[in-house]
Amino acid sequence: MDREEAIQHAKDEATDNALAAGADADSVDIVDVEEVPLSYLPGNAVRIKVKAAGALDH
Amino acid sequence: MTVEIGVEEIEDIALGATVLGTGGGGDPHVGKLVAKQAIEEFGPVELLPPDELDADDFVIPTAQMGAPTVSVEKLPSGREAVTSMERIERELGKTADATMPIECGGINSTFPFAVAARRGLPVVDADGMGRAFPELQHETFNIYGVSGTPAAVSDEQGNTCLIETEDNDQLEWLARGVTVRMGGVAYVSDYPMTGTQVKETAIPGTMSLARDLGRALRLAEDDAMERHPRGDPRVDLRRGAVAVRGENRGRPAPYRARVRLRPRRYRRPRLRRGVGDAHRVPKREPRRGRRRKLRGDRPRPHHRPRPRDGRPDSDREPPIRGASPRARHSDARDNADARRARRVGAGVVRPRRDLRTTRGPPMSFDIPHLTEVTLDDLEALGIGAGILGTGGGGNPRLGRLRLQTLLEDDAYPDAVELVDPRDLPADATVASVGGMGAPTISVEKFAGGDEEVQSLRAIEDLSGETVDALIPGEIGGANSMAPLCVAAMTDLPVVDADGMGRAFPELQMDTFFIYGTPVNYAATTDERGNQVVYRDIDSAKRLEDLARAITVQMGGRSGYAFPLMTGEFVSEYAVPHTVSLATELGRAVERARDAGTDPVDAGRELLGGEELFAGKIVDVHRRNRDGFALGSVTLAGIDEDATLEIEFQNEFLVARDDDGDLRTTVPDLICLVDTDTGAPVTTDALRYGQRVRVLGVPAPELLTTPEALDVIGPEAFGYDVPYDPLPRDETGW
Repeated sequence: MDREEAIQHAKDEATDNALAAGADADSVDIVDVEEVPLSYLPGNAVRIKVKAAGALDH
Repeated sequence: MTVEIGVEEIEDIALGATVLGTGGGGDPHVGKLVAKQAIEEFGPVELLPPDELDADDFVIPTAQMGAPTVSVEKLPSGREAVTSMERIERELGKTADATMPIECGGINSTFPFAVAARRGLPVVDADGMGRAFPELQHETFNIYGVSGTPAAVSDEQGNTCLIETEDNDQLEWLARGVTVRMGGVAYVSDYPMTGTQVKETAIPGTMSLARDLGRALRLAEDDAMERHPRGDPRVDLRRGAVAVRGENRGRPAPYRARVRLRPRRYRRPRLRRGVGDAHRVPKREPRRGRRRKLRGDRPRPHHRPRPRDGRPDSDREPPIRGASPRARHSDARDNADARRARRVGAGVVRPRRDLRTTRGPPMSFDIPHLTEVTLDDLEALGIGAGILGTGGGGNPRLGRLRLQTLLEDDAYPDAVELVDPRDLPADATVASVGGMGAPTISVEKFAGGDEEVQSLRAIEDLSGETVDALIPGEIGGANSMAPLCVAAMTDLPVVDADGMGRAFPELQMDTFFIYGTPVNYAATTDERGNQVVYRDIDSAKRLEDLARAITVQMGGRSGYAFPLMTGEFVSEYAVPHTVSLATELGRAVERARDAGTDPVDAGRELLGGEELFAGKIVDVHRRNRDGFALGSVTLAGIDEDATLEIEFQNEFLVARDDDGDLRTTVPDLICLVDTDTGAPVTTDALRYGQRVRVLGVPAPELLTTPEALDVIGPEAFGYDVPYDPLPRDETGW
């Protein structure tokens, strides 16, 4: 998949995880996106790490 | 003399053993609690040096085995290892005389003390690893030939398993399997040994070592806590400042949150040159050739008032040979000059007269012109150079640290002399020095310190010239500091000007080359001293291609020196007073910070620029290619829903708004600064979530001429738009 798709996919997954952990849907926000190129792998491999956080939903 | 281990020593052993345990060995806290409880109930334990064992003493090591992650949840009862030890005693028909740890780490250093306390036995001051290792056969007992069995494994419910194997590797295999079945954690006694075997195969003194190490750490921590009694301090040993966190918890920390307990201008003690310093700071270069007095004896006002008729320097007489005292030559010097003039014709450049489109020396800002750069100016210069560097030029912090080390060292001068470009004698020889390579690499691949000096010496040797002054190639980032470092090391002055007024990715983008300096001599050196010299390169672009390829092969960073120019050329075609400008810009930002006003605005106002955007970084896309850090960064506005995309190639080149239209392009400066502190943000420091403001500063006049735009205009970078300059202030450059 291309870069934008991959980042969006990671963001969606992070958001889902935050919601599953009990975050309030309105307050979930992406707080960090880290993209590290894996130069030792063939092709344009990149490791994407996304952190989403939100307030606990009571 | 018997050493007794009580509750306090157990604490120290637990701490020291955790350090020695290289990350494993089980949870030290649990082990500590188990041992402390046993000692409190049954009394302190004797620590027995191995040489006090008799040859036929019977020693049974005891330990916990299993994953540390399980052991923090599955708490022991305290009796388990005693059970396993008793099983072995029953099997062999002998009573144990002592126990000992199998490894130095985590729970397994303190656990034997719990066993020993219950049984009233001593613990031998030795162990089987000196650290921690994952598997049983990693013990030195196995390595040096002791049989591991009979071994017993028991769990906290009292179940015991006796294992007899021919082979110690099989012991590990079976014991591990039993441990897993027992719930992941179990208590093992293995390698029952005689006193002789312990003396021959165990690593002695490790429990005392752990105890002493833990004690030393505890005392050091107590000492640090005592010296900072306020609240709950966290000592930042690098900066000598203490951050008091209590009152700022929960609020975003402004830069002012760091409370300084030491005075603001804390300096490291001056380095004394000793025998051991030779490898750290390069030897000071001996001066070569005659030192020229470049400032002349004309009184220099600190601030030049701008003359009234619009032309920049109509009140100043041009430097005429023979009219001022410094130009009176003796016969000897005449001959030397004549020889030099002949050499000058051959090697050093004459500018191409047909390209002169500016009238007289170029315009510059209305700021005080520095005569020297001292330690006090460095921080301001770093900030200013970082802002003017438009994201590139190398991380200014590293350059500043280097220069600070040199200026603090007694062996080097305390300040670097700056020469006004208008005061340069017309025939002075000036060389530009600096570093080249992608900034992302330069923050990881530290320099050797004298690459630029070696390059400078190379071009001096090659040309037969002696360089009289240095000039930065670009005022951005670390390349504003590099010539100052070289100047400190070689005792040369630096011209208060540079070749760009900002930073650009490629070498041919220096005004020196745009306005006609041929590439007569050049050199690049890497941190190992590998040097490549270039002679008579036919164009600056070709030099850029060659030097960039070489720099990439050198690892991504090298120090350069080129070209050789005359003072007259530099006074006409270098962007003037940029070192002073960078320092003044940094000062303005610092003053605003201290006064509580907006530092970004202070900087913007000094430069006569405008604020293009304020927002947060939402995307950074990087590609390191061909020796450049290419990419784009997208900002999302804080207030509006607008976005701005800035493309960079080492430096920020163009700013594109939502519609895809280019709002600002090279050569105008696009500077990213932190929203709150005004600190510059370089391309290698871009991170998701940073809050930044984008400043647009009109480019120096020298970069807006037609021949300059051919090299550094938007079309030269591949953008198919004409240059649309930002509105320019009359008092700018």
